[in-house]
Amino acid sequence: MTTNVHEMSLIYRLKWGLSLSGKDKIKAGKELVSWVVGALKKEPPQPRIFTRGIQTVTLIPGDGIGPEISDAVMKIFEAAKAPIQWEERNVTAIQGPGGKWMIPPDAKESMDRNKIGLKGPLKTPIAAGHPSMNLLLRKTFDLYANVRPCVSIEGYKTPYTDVNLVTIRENTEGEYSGIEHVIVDGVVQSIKLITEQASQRIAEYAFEYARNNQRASVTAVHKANIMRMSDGLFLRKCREAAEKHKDVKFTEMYLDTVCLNMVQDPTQFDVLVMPNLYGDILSDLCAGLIGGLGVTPSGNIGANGVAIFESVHGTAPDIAGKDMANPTALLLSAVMMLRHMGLHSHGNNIETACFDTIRDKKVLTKDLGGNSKCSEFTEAICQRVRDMN
Amino acid sequence: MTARSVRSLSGALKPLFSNRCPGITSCFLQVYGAASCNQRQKSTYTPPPARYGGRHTVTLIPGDGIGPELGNHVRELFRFCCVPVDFEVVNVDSSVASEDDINNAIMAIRRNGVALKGNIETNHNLPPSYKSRNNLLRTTLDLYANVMHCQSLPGVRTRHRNIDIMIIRENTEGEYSSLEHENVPGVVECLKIITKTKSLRIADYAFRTARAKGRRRVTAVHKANIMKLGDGLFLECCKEVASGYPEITFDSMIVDNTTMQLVSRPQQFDLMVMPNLYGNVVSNVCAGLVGGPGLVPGANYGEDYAVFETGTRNTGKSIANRNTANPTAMLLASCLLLDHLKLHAYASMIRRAILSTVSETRLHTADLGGQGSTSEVVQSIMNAVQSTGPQTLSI
Repeated sequence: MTTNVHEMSLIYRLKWGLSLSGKDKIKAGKELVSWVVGALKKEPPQPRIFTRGIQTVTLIPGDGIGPEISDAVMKIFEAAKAPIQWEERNVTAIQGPGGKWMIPPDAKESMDRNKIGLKGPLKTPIAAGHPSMNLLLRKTFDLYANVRPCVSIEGYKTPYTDVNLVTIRENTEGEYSGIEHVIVDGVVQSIKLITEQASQRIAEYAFEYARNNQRASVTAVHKANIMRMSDGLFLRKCREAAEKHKDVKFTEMYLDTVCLNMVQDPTQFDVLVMPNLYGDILSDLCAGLIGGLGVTPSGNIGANGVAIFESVHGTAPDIAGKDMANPTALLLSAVMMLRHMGLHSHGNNIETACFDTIRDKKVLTKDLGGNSKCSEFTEAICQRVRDMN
Repeated sequence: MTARSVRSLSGALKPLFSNRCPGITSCFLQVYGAASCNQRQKSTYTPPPARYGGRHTVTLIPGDGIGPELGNHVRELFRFCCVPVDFEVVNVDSSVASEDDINNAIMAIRRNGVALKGNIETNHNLPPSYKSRNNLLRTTLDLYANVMHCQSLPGVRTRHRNIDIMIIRENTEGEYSSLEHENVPGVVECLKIITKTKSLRIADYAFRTARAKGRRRVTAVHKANIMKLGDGLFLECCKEVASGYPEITFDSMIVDNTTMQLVSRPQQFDLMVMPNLYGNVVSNVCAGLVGGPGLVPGANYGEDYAVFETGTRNTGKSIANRNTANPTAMLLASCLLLDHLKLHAYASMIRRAILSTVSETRLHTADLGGQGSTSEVVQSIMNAVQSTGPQTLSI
């Protein structure tokens, strides 16, 4: 600790009322401004801790089986006595002033206030004139990271056991920028956009996630041998983020090598971070390893601390309203949400109850191989959760 | 001279020779006779002529990593089996910036028409001016179709059984166009080009292959819900070509759903056709499903040239020169090469020997979970060939 007054930061000299020379005053002013700007720019990346009080969460039930599974999740949370209060909102696209499509303002206001959301499956409109709701939500809240933890479920047998990995996918740019042109008749050009800012953001998030969730390594997935500049930029940003997080191991692997090794031995992977398209393919590949989209949780992290957790399966209109739906995906996403909020004990309880029920195989919904109803499955989990408390 | 013009010349000269040199024509008949009784992919195709006493000359590009040692094993095996193929070795040094080496290799392939190649390493930390040598080779020679046949092999234990998928991947355009630029510092754009001509060409190739091999179903893999124009064009071309093949069922699947289906139920797929990047992903997933990169051969076909290599194009740097690499993929690729040259008898003989060796668990190399060495596997293949009876060199 230095006692030399001249080596102390100018800010502290101001603070302690020490005298400053004229030159120093300008320097101090500049330093103060940059400190203030820095504080304003930086968002706290740590998960929020809510140890007291009830946290309000925006719930978007969705379409098709959405309302049923949302009900199931609410019941289970009630049984677990989780300190969550739900605020239900609907997101159907409305046309704002100027003809731009947007989500209803009350939904937006609720999300901005609560910062945490849970979303069921949304119908993808065909020829409705507006883009998909998922895309709208992504753009409205700048949901830049899609996180999908894939953990093998003990009661649900797949050829792959012991899968325990997380895919973190950049969600805003890359190949899905939607920029396409017809150059001449018969030649189409699709632009893949990689920016420094987005790559940096996702890389930072991946390492923060690894650190907060006690993950040992982060692997960047790329194809820089072919797409030298774009994936090269992505890799550089990942390497920079790795420098700042020396406690997490960092490796780079080609996309094809990852695919090859993933289907042979998925246990060698931990956290994977990648641009949009590779993320789309790999996250679905990993979901397939553990049993499909019906049991896979997913979370979207946005700027300004917004986080929306969702189930990624479809709306299943054919079984909607028949009490046949499987709420596992939404439930596990809700557990992810609890962990994000720091409510680890509640999250663990609910997850254990869910896994135990599936392992027991006594009450399973049709897609898991049983013939029980959704309500029976939900009740079984509620019972286990109550017993735990 | 292109291979095509040489072929037409030889065709014109054949009647001239047949009267004067009955010996040479009998050689020709021996080579072509064996070919006529086997299934062929392109029935109108004639291979580059076997000049110089009925022997073919094939370019061999050893590449990096395990490439050189596997190339040597191929040569050893061919010498042992008295296959009438001579290899012209062209080394490509991946560490130098100049493109002379790869241009020499391309010229050699143009000269010979056929090549067997190991993977050439690309250091992705070098600036974009250093292009991938493999990609350069494929685009310059216009090897538009990459064909990979993934089959479950007996004796190899995998999580899924009874897989038989043929993957046809567009090899020259799509995401691998290597067109990138940075207009604004920090913003990089990479262009993915899809053209109607190439999409029609690959779709046509896929359906012709399906018909020739008796495949019932062709699946186009795409992401047209997001890339509406690009992959939409590809899908349209596939549909257009499909209408001309009513006996083959055509359907399409989005790439993320495809990978999910592949890891849960791969038996549902028959023949798949797709653009470049999805082909990379899907072919690696399928190779992993049937047992790994050491088992699946790959072939790159163009209008005039053909280059054969391992299916997943790995350099295998970490296992180079340790005698632990699995030679099966490279040796099966050399059988595909022999089939391409219409030397079907040799091809089936070697293939039978390879498959009998693979089914023996004690000879499995490290990638299959065993402890066998490369030389043991090759020795066993040579023994199997010798025991089937045809004339071989003494061991």
